[in-house]
Amino acid sequence: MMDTKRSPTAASPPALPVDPHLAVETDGTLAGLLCAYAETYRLGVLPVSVGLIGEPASGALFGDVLRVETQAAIASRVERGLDRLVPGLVGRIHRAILGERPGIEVAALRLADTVRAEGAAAADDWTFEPAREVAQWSGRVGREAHRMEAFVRFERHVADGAETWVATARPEYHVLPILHGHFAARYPTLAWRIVDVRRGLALVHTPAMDRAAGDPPTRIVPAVTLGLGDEAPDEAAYQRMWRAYFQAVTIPERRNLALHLRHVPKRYWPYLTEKQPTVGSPRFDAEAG
Amino acid sequence: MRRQVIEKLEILADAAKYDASCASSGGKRENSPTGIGNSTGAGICHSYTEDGRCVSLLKVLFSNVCIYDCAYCVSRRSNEEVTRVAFTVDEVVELTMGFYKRNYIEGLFLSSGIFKDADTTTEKLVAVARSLRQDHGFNGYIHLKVIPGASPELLTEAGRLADRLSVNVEIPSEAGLKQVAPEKDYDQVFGPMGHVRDGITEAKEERKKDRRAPRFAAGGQSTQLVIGATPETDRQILELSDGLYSEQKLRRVYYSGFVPLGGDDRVPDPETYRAPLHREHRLYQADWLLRKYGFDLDEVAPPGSGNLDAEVDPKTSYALRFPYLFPVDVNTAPVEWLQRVPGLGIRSAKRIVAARRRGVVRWDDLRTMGVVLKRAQFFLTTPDHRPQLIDRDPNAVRQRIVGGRGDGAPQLSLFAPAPVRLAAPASAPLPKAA
Ligand code: SF4
Repeated sequence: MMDTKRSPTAASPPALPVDPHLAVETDGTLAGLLCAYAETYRLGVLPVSVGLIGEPASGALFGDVLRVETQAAIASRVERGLDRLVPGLVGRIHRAILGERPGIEVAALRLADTVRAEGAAAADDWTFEPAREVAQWSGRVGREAHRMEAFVRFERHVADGAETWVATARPEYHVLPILHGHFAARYPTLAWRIVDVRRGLALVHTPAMDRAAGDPPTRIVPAVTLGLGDEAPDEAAYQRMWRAYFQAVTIPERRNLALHLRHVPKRYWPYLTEKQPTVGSPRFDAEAG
Repeated sequence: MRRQVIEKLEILADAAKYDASCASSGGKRENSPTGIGNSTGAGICHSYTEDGRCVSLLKVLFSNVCIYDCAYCVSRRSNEEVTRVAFTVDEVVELTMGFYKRNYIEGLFLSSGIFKDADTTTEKLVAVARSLRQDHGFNGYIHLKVIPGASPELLTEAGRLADRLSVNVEIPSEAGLKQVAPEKDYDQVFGPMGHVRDGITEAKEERKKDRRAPRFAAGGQSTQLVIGATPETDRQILELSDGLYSEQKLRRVYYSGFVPLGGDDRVPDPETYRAPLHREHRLYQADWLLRKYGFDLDEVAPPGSGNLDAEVDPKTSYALRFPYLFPVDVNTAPVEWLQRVPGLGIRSAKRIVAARRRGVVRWDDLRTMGVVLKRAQFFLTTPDHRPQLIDRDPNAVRQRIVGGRGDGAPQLSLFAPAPVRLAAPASAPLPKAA
């Protein structure tokens, strides 16, 4: 906002201007965006929009559309450079673009370039709009991912004697690409998958002993390609026990629904085991068993 | 079998629910390629009860059979209203694994009534932890409650297996404890607590020399204090907590507002008593200032001050007691000072510091940064915001905050001249950070 905030360090060329006629297209990944930065830096300008390859840019007519090819080597060079300047910045940018917010890629490019030109302090300066936008979207997406780490519920399924742990969720943002590390570290020996029903995608994990050497432990695939086994015989019992537990730990004298809703907004309820009604009475089972 | 387990689960979870601690953070247990679970970094709340508390662990008693008769406890010997049951080791292990694989929980918090003596009981808790770790490759979080009076050998094994151990002090004074728990005394509590503390310290030292040395309760030790069952004041309670942090090196003290169960006239009667939720809340805020913000006990709760201010949070209360230390200049104050401004958290303080590195921070910048100014406006200055009320009339500030009118733009002070800052009297308890 104020000119006093721009104090370029002696060695770096000043921050690049945005060219109102330049649009770029990438494959939509973080690597693609990092390559776009390398490419536009070479041109000496930043683009006014970043779109997806093959999807017509909306709105204005652009003078030039630059199609960026994703190259792993270039992406990791840019990543190393940025992370050296501000540790964690690339992760922040990654989370921010997963918010699928129009314009966030341009903010990310401006932030990256300003950090390059003016030093690390720009990254945490919320009075600098691109820094604030990226931080805020990174925060939102990070919170949603954290909620998924908490609220995802696996169900045990069996098909041909093999078990699969299946979870269904409806995340607000495209968080599957940042969930794999957490769950792969937690359940390395289980075959599990998390289905994002909003986007029709699934994060699929294959345990080491079932995959070819060199294959990644997780991948994201269209959900329709996955078959479903049958629910395991003990699944209903565990779900029932979890609901019983959940009921038992509430202190009725302290019930506070407003607070409860703040922590567990209603939109998560359809996918939470503890929020499902128990079908059939436990008493009946008790007598039968 | 399921029927029995589900019924035991209902009873033994119900009996454990009053224990406030549910944290699963601070663990440092990484998973192995063939194991299951990890407990690194911050814990996860997998759900929240309808009263708004975090559900992170399967929190149950091994058994609610107890030979003691603590008046504040539902499992006390003399309570004839409860059905007495006990899990088997395998049942707890299976439940934990089944819940963990479904991502319901971060791990297990196991406690128990004392069904025979301290060692017999502790042995069962240790057996559960041992089976989880050794038979099932479980690397999730395990928190074991230490039974007062347990032998050092068992405590050592418990510490090797668990991420956290706790001995509950429960009643914030020994006299109070004697009244409501005749079989207990502070020696039984502080003996094991000291043993665990030394185990943690030793293991840390060993691991400095050799990274493969075994861990010992790497998530630290915690305890719980019951608030309201006995007559201690907030100052007395915080004095105890302060000592527990500095001398026993506890990671956390939890405060649990007493919920009366009835049927025992050594503790308040449910007919006339209301759970002191507001006190519990203020104690957590004060505790937070002690642990995270570098406040001293006397700054948060002056000697002899009785209970914390019910109307305003402890940081505001501090600022109103030391009005001459405010307002603080946003553009020059050290970050430790900014954190002492009511309404400013650690994150806001850091954001301010980051922004002022690149230029002068003005009033609107604070808003842009997402700093909540409702309370803070009375206690900080920018070049275009110079509040004077705190100097002239701290009580008026209190009234505006309590009355909920501490909101909005700083019109009143906008055109006022900059106040002349007087040096604080030499005897004034300046914040340590200064
Ligand atoms: S020893 Fe523990 S379980 Fe037994 S009555 Fe006292 S508090 Fe309750």
